Amino acid sequence: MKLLSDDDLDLASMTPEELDRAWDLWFELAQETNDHDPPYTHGVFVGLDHEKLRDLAVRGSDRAAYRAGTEAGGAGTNPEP
Amino acid sequence: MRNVYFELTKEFNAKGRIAVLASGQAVVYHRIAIMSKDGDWIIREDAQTCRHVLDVLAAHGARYRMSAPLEPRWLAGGWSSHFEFLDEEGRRIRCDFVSRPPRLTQRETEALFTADADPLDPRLAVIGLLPLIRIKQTQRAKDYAVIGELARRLPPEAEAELTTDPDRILALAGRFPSTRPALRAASSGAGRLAVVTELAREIDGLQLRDRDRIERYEAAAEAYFAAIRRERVLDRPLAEAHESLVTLAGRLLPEDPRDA
Repeated sequence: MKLLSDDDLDLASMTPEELDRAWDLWFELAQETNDHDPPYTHGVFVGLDHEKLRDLAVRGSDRAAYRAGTEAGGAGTNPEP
Repeated sequence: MRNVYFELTKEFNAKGRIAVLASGQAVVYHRIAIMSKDGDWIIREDAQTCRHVLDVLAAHGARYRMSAPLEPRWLAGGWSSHFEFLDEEGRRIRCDFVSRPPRLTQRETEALFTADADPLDPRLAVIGLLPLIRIKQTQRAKDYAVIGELARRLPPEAEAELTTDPDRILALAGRFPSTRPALRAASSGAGRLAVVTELAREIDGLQLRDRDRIERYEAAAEAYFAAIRRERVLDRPLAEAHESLVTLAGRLLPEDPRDA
């Protein structure tokens, strides 16, 4: 079963200089999609898109405000939607 | 022009191996495919390494992205640190660091720093095929296609245990003892559908485990992320941002969410 295409795989026969040039050209072209890339492709924040990242920070602010409110003896803001 | 991530690896390792290039750029290095715009490194977990990496990044004008600070205290808990800068061509360069890559033992991680480097340049330290496959067993479907191609480069017994290609499982079945359900299905003569089903079940399990792991970190980072946004830390130059992140993380970021 072919898991990747021939275009993907035809690197083994390249010289180091050819591979550098191919990667450089690919990287240059790939810059076009920067604005649409997910914020993370590795690490522990993979899966967070820009919207989720904002939500996470907002939920964190809401929870902090709620805790501040409850610690002060007030009702606070309910952080749950 | 050279691969900027290969060149960064050499800068990090200028005075000795402290960073091993991993993930997508390692896939390029091993001549499998070109499919990643980012650089990912596994680094030694000590203060001197973190300082040196930060110095290299600062020299390139890098800024923090929303992440844990590059400090052993949080790296040891499995956190990742993320940075970004524009190179002289105006291209976006993203740099991601961990010291405790998922699915590798501490011993396997330590071995990365003594394994063979590039024969032409010892500063170009790149993760080997076996550990690369293990760290690519993520929640992302596209990583499993790459694993199949990486596994082809392994000796047959190792390939049989790790390949994601059902045809290779069928070809290798019965040659080596194994508890892998997909291999046992192939050996038992259950047919291709049974092999594909077991493989799908295995991959789904790996994806779910990775997702569960990451969800713990996301939940643990909420208050910390909120503070970073509120105080506009990411707008600051690297050294200043780092100090601020360490202060905020000390208050708000659990060192190891896996303990929760």
